[in-house]
Amino acid sequence: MGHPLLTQPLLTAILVLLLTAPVSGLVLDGYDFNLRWQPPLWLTLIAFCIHWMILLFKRWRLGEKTGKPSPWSRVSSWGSRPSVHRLAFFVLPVVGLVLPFFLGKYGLTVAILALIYVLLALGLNIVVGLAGLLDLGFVAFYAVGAYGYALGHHYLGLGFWLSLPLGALLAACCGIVLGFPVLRMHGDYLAIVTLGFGEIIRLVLNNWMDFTGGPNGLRVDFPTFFGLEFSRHAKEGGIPIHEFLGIDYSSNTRNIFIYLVLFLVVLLILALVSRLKTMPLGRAWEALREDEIACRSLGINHVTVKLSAFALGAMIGGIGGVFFAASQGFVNPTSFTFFESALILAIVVLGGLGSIPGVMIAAVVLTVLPEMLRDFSDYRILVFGLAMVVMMIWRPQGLVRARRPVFQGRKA
Amino acid sequence: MVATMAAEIFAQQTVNGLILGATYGLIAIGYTMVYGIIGMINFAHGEIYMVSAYLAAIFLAVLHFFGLTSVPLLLVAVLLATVLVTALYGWFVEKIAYRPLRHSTRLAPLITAIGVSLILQNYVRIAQGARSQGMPSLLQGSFILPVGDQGGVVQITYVQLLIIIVAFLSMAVLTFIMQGTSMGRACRATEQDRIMAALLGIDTNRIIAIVFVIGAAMAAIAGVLVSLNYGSFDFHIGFITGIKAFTAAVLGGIGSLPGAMLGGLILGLAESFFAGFVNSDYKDVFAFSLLVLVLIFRPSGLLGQPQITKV
Amino acid sequence: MAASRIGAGTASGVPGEESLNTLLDVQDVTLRFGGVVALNRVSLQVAWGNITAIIGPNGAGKTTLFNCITGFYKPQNGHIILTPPNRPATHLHHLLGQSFAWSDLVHPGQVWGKLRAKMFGGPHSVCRAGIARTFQNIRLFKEMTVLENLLVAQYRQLNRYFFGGLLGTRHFRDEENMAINRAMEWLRFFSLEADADRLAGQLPYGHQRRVEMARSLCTDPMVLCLDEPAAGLNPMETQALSHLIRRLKNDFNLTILLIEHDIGLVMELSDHIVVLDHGEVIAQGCPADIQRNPRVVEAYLG
Repeated sequence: MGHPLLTQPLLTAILVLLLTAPVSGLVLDGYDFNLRWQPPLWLTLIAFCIHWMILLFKRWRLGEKTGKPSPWSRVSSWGSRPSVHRLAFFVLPVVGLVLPFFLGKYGLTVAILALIYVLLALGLNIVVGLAGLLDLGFVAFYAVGAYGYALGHHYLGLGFWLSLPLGALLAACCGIVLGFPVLRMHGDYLAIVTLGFGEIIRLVLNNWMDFTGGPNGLRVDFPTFFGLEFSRHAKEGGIPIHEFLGIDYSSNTRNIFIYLVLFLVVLLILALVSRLKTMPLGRAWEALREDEIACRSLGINHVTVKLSAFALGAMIGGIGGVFFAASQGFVNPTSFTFFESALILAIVVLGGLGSIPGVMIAAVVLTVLPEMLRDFSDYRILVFGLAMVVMMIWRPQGLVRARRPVFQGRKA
Repeated sequence: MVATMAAEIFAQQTVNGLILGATYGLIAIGYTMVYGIIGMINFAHGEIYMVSAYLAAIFLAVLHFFGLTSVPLLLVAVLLATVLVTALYGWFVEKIAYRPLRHSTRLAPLITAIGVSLILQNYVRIAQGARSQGMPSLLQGSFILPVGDQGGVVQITYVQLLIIIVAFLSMAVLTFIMQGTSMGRACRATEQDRIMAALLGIDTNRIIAIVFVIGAAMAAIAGVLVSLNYGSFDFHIGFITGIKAFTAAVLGGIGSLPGAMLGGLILGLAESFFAGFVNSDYKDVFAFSLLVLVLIFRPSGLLGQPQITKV
Repeated sequence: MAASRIGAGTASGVPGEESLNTLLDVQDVTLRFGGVVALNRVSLQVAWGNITAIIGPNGAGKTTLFNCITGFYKPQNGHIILTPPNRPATHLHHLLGQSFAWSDLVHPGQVWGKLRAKMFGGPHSVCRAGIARTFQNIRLFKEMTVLENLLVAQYRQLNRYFFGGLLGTRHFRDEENMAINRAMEWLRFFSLEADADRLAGQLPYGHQRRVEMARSLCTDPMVLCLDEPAAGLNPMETQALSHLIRRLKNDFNLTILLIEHDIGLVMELSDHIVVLDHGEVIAQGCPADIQRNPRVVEAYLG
């Protein structure tokens, strides 16, 4: 027998070669195929190296003294130091408010997108991270918000400011209607029902040509600021904001405005979510995630508590949708595929289930990074998938572990 | 005349529905067995099916390239090779994504399953390209049967007949394995009580791996047959078919093998009648709505046992 | 050591005459799983302020009975009635949702109640009626601190102030502080105050058992159901536990229902013993009677 440190990776390598040789080595070309040598060999080599490194790492860990903190625990303890939090508490809002004035047109678009994802991730974090309900159709509520605004505008002439609360409310109602029957049963079914629901919404949006415009989508009006419009020339009777303020017209003004409003909403939601975490309701969510049966034995109605998490998450998703529609000026069903749900889930998982700062960092990183690495966009989703698997196996609490509140000022 | 038309559509949709249902049933076996044994929805199963469709086309092209032209031989060889490699995929996925999480939280394996399905989908997309691929129709020709007395006909292609035969044969073989062999007994014991089975000397990790392998093999059979029938596929097919097969598994009662097949047939028929008589644009919506309704009103399915929460 | 009754007292009055009153009445409860009869016409009465023990061999249906009483299982037949002193009786099985019947048409008023129980009923309603429990396999919220575990149990008292909580009003903070103090008092009672801010999952086994008891007491129950509280404890810990249970009865007027395999502990503590075998009550009475009962001896030895 050979050295175990080499034989095991070698076996893995052979297996990977067997698996990848047909799929990535023989590329279909009509009814014929082309041979490609490199991809399967590269993959095999990578698999060998990874397995070998894992074995080395395990051996090293075994030899190491157990008392010594690993470098990762230091990272998390840094993130949870109160002084760091206090600093972030004051610095981040200021940076966020000043930022749009220094960004170009493209930068602003990315920043708005990143903020929308922060919002969505905060919403899904309540559902998955805190309440432990796997929602794979979160994009449905996002779509409800976006289409709520678009359809309301198209048929009823509703503006942005009215659509924002209405869209949120509509999404929350959808959450309750969907959640009530489903949340009563076994947890895993929820995942597949929400997945199905997300697809139903998308298919209906796609197929109901007369009402939603089908794949062509719908145009959406841009928001106004107390009736002041952001276009170069106002519609009849309106005043464009650049004339009102006496500044030159710039197409950025509108995006800066949307950014600022969105930023304030994110701050508000952030305050709400972090407050909820230390409130009885938030505690009940986490308790349900830990042990549903124990919760029920303590007089907590699991259905209504889950429903509140589900509805609140849906509401935040709906708000994100309204902002998405407003910033794009246009909605169509391709923005609401299952991939969006998976992306938001990846953000929440990578950020650490339940950890608010972690989720926010992950949202920004996962939206900004792909924009910077456009050349690798093909590999983006692949990497997300890999990251989800690796995270769950290696560090299920996420990069930044959620802190537990310590109650001060009690009579001990 | 109208009646003949309706009868013709009815008969044709029945045939189509049975074919569709047989493939759903085959894929549903993977869901139902994995759920039965580890109580987890294997979201990556649909993608395994998708991979098998690609594998079938690739093996067909390769064998053809090496000069194999006899159709029956080609069919058997492609089926065997695809089932083997797909089963290997199933085993590998279980080993790297699920086994390390055996003692983790309930949420973790579900999330890795999503991760694995994203990986498989995009791996195939990157390796094989995003456009849809084709598979030559090996078996041409069909039976034409008369319907009614006004000259209506219903067409059953040889491939469709093959699908039905192979589907039921594999079901029969699987039932025999589960009921008659010691491995099947070990599987059922593990399903009943994993800890107890382990105490009795059953290597439960191996059994769980075997269940994944069997599920993948069944999905591979479905993949080969479906590709032969429709002739084209792309890297997206796993997602929708996966959810529908899961619906079939739930409909029949998750954890029950005959239930999976029955659920598949019912779903296939329902979907194809809906497409034939109501609206084909909304057939997917119909299938998903059916899933939601079944889960709400009869979560234990048609043949499943109601679950007792252990306190 | 005279700790005051924690929280709003539900049990008024003093033991004595009233302690003979039946608090929990289980009548003819039958539960079948498929073809298996898990409980067969089980009847027992739990007197107010008593410690009642349920004993029996493994698989006799003790935990199943507990699950029926606490609302996790719904028996096919029988009644479980909780009659607090000076208050109307609660039919616990009604809280789990009854099926609709034609007679509902005659009394439409019942339909709403039944619908409500069907939609929102369950074990939590039983807990709110005043029955708390612990579990044989400890079910703590492992990733939460011990104090949080106890605060979750006071959800019902606290969550009335949702918007107050969002705004952090003074009223809400006062309530929250009261809840924390109540939790700390129970922790002190179980000598756990040093563990308050530790993760529940990281505690030693014996501590976890006590945390679970403290947590169920935070729901402010009338009846406390303990499912094998001494399992896995060493003799010294068992002795301490016995002392604590006795104090719960004497100082807090709690009615206690106990499943336990440690016969020594059962004989020492209980006022009344019910023996189950194969889902049936084969004997009940005071400890001395039970020790002499031939059927009990047979069930345990044979």
